[in-house]
Amino acid sequence: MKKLFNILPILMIATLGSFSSLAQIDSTMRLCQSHMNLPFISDGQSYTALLNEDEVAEFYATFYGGSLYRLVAYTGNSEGNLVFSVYDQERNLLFSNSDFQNFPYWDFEFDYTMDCIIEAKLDSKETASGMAVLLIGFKQ
Amino acid sequence: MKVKTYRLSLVLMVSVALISCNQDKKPTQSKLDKDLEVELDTTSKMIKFENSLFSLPSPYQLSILIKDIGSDYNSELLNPTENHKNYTNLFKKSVNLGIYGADLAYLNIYKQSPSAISYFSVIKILSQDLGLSAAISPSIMERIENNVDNQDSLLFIMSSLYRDVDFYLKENRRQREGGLVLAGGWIEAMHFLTKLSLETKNDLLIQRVGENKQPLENLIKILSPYYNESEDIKALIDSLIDLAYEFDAVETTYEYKKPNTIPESRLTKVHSVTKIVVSNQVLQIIDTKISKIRDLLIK
Repeated sequence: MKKLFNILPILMIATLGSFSSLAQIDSTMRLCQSHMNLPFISDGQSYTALLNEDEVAEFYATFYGGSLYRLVAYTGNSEGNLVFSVYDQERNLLFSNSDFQNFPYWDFEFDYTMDCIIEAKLDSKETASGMAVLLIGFKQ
Repeated sequence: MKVKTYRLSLVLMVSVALISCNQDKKPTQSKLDKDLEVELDTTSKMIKFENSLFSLPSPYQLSILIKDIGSDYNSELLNPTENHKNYTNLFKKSVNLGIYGADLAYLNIYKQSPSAISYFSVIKILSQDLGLSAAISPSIMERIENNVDNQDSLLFIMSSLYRDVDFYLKENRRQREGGLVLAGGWIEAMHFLTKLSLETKNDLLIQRVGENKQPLENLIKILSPYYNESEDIKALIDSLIDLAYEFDAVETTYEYKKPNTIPESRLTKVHSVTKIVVSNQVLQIIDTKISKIRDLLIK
């Protein structure tokens, strides 16, 4: 019984922590969605990754030639905390939002279809850990 | 080509081995084993390959392309709505939720409103059966019903709805069903694409078939953590790997060119050149294999 009383607070904290992180990711998702409006249409997927300090998440995506795409990436509830960079299949850097004050969304026009890697990492000056949320949309 | 094929098989074998043996004592791991280790992140509730996530192009984009090249509407390409009664397990329901979603996109692009309503009803039934009601608010359903004739709005609402379902499944540790919905959507879109490529011999359509080599590898990586979870999933992954071998015969060249960023428009124009060649023989084999996989999924 005594053991149960010892475990109970830990379980309660864990449960509250879990609800809190779910609420956090929901609000981050809503922020992303606010930049994914017509004429952009979602690709139907949501991409999330938990990042700590200098960890990097990689998103592998194919972009069709002749199309305009929008990438939206956030962590937490404010702009500028997430750095995202787009590389081609040979790891040539095509774009990084770090050159533009970590702006949370950017559009890309592809002449030819390309397989790309999108890297996302936290701006270590702003935050130590957080859930990165990325959305991809295309213009009809 | 052979190297890539070998790599793909290896990815799957190692992933499967790691999952099936995850309770056993781990021997010293090689760098490759470590890179491929499947990690369950309990906070984000995402299955990740060392923080890597894989994307598939939207089935909606392929339907738009099919319409743009002037192909006529063909109802025979679709999975008949009556079939939904045959889908009694989670695997079939999930995969066909993706298939019917791609069908609805096709109907929507061709402004086939009466049929779109029937397909939407089936999607609603499958979603409820899969316990996705919490992810689909009544207001979304109402918006869809009110916008059946409005192509732009319906495309936007439906793709957002599938994204919300994907997010809900991931948040609730149901990535397996999420992966199966994606698989269904990809197979159906590829079914449209290969059938119409053979029929029209349109270069752009044929090229788009070849451009799905990487998305197919992504799909296999998305599904592979669940390889041992059911015979259905095992058979689906095996058939996708078999299909991937055929895609190795697609010839691809790539040349990097410096992109052009226009900060005031928040736009980057990417000029790198990818060239893809798909022979008629390869196209026919891919079409046959896609049809075979689809037939198993929709029956």
